[in-house]
Amino acid sequence: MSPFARWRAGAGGLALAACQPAPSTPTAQTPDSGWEGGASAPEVPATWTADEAMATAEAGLSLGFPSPWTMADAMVEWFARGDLFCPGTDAVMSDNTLQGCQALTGWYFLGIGGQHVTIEEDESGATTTTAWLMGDMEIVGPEGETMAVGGHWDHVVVEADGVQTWEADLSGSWFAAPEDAGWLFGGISALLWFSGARDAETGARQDMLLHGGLSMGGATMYFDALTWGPDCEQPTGTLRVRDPSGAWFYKEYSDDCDPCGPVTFHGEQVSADACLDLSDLAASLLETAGP
Amino acid sequence: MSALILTMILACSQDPPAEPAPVAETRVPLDDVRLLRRMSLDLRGTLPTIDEIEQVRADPTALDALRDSFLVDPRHEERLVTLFTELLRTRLDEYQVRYYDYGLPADMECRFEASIGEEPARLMARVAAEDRPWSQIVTADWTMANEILAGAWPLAWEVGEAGWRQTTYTDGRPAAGVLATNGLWWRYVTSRSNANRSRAAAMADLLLCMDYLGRPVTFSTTPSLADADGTALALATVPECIACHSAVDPLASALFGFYPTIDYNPEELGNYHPERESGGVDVLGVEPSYFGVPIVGLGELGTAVADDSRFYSCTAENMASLLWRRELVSEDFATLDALREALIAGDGEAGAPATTARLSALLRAITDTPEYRAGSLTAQASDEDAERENTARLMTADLLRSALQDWAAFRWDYGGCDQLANDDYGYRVLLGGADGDKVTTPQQLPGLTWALGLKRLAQGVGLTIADREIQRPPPAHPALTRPNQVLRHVERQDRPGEAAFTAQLEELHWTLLGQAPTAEALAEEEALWTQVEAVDGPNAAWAALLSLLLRDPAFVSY
Repeated sequence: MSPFARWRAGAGGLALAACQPAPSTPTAQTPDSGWEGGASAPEVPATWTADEAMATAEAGLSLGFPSPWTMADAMVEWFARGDLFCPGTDAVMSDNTLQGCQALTGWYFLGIGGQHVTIEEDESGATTTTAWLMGDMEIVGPEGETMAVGGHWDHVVVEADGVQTWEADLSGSWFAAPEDAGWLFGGISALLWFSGARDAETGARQDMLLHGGLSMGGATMYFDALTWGPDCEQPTGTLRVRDPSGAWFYKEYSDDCDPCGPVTFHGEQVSADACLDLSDLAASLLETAGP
Repeated sequence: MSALILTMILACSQDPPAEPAPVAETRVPLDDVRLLRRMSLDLRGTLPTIDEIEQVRADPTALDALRDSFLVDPRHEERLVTLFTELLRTRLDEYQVRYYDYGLPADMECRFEASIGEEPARLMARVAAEDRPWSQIVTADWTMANEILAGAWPLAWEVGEAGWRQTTYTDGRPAAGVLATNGLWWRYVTSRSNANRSRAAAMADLLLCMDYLGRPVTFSTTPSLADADGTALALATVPECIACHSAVDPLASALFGFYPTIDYNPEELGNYHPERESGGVDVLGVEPSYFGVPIVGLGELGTAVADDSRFYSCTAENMASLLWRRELVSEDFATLDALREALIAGDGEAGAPATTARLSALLRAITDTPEYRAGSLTAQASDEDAERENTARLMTADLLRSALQDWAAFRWDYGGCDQLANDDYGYRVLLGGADGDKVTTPQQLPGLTWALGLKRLAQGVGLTIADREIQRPPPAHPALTRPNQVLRHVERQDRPGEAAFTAQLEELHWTLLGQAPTAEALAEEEALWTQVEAVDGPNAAWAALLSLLLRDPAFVSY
């Protein structure tokens, strides 16, 4: 600790903190606590009720889970709206000048993007499908059509012994207009991980995990280890829904397969029986297993 | 660790440090007019007017009232913007997202970049200029923006509005003052693997004066830091790593609404991402906390900073260093204590520092210190004193820009760029300024490029004024003076020896140099004017004379 750090810490720094009773909660691992506490921000009351929060989440999720495969198809389609040189190919959009290119078709392409899918088979007959997609790009059509992407997706599917397992992560900002762009139309922002296993032949789910944050359709949600088993369309885990005040509603899903249950806000229960059925989310998430 | 324990033992066992022994005063204060000039430049970025100089010459006690008037002068806020961009190091010439990413034309490049870097500094300056509690710089639910930022970022903005004004983000980001500004986080970028750690370190450095990056660390060879897994293992097991990361990582975890999943992208960098607020737990493996105290996200991070005594100590340190124009040393501790207390006492009301602290009180206290008012050293000053003290500041690009613009309405533009405020096309660093990246503090001693840049600048200013005020005929009516008229006593036909000519020279000396001309200086300047006039006429003669004065050591120092 420098002499200046000691001076600064005079009222609450390490040297003195070691001699005095610890402030409220710092632990022995606290390296440099100088926080005196006291003027903490007041807890802002919720803007929504628990039911309104669940309704908002339901509306957002009604667009379906943002399947990266949809994004991959859309990217191919939009790249094809250029010409021979701009933006490149239907799989890769390059931008050597960093200032974009205007295709003869009237479409403007700025940035870079691309995708690839590889399938490998080993000696045992197991196949591994690896899909990758990224975009740091904007595409604008002559009628104002727009696709704006800043994100990436990684996806690995392994099929062996009659079981298809997958792991994926999807992150970034994705948006496209016009309206027929599906979930892309409203745009999403995400930092998501999802994985699962299903019967390769029947498609029956064995298990599935969804974890991370997603803003979509006006709802900002955080899926805290939502886990589905083979027998119930409701997960276990916690769904968080962000209130406009910035704090979060917590909706617990227990193992009773009930879409209804208690909701808390700032640690206090604000509803004993708010409902949000996540069976549609489970179904659309299962569809992301493979192309 | 043993040194750390020793520090703790010493801190516990020793009596409070005794008052420092009295030392011989080694500083000679500036004379009153030069001090007025220093205060005017420091607090509002301009030279004092001739009226203000006359006031102080007639009554030196007028200085304090004038200093207080500078603190409420509209130009004070603009000066603070400059000081705070220097402090935050945010005024870069290039960010990850460029002007063309938002469809702006090339002649908007410099304004776009300057706007980004100024955003957090303008928030701080607005808090100070309106004498609000200083804690608001980390708790405010608003920011400052202009039409350029409003066109690029999610900000509330009425169509047709222009210029800097207070507004709010519309993307759901919490109230956290500068910690919730794009401008700060565009300067202090992160990456997926860095996961906001660099930003947490920057926050600790800028607001708490805790320089984690400056701490000595001995890296062991195992585990290897060459890959992500090895690094993660080291962060969890190597004491040298844990020492910093146990504090930095939980701070970084509170910043995840700003976590970009891809660099260089306007959507990712321009927007706050509330769904990622809990991402720190997923990516870093730690919940947000403030040096061991759990917090919920960015909003509570700002509140925690506002409640931290180090925030006020750090503000006192930073502002003292900025206005003393030197690095601080341990001999400054007692003065810094007093400055911190002045900041906290602020508005004079009882209460917690988060509600009482005012920057204006700190600025008053700093400008009262002998360190600030020193103009030279006495013969008793030691070599160490001479090494430490800074009794003369150097006018660098920022001050030259604001002072010359105010005094002579001079602005050096090229392609939409202020040439004293950028380095892509201009001369900011060459003229001693800081770019916030490679050059983080302004030059304090004259140098070759500074001298060359100053020469060109002085010539440009001289010619501009002469063209405007000598070449062209005077206004049709005597009551119609031109704005920012510099040569207000003379006209084209006036010559050395005439009363108007002498009055003009004397006024230029007082205004530009803050001192009376000597008879010898007047004679030399009249001789120069006469020689140039004989060759190129009065226009060139005044340009030469003005150029000479603007390169005078008394002008370029303050």
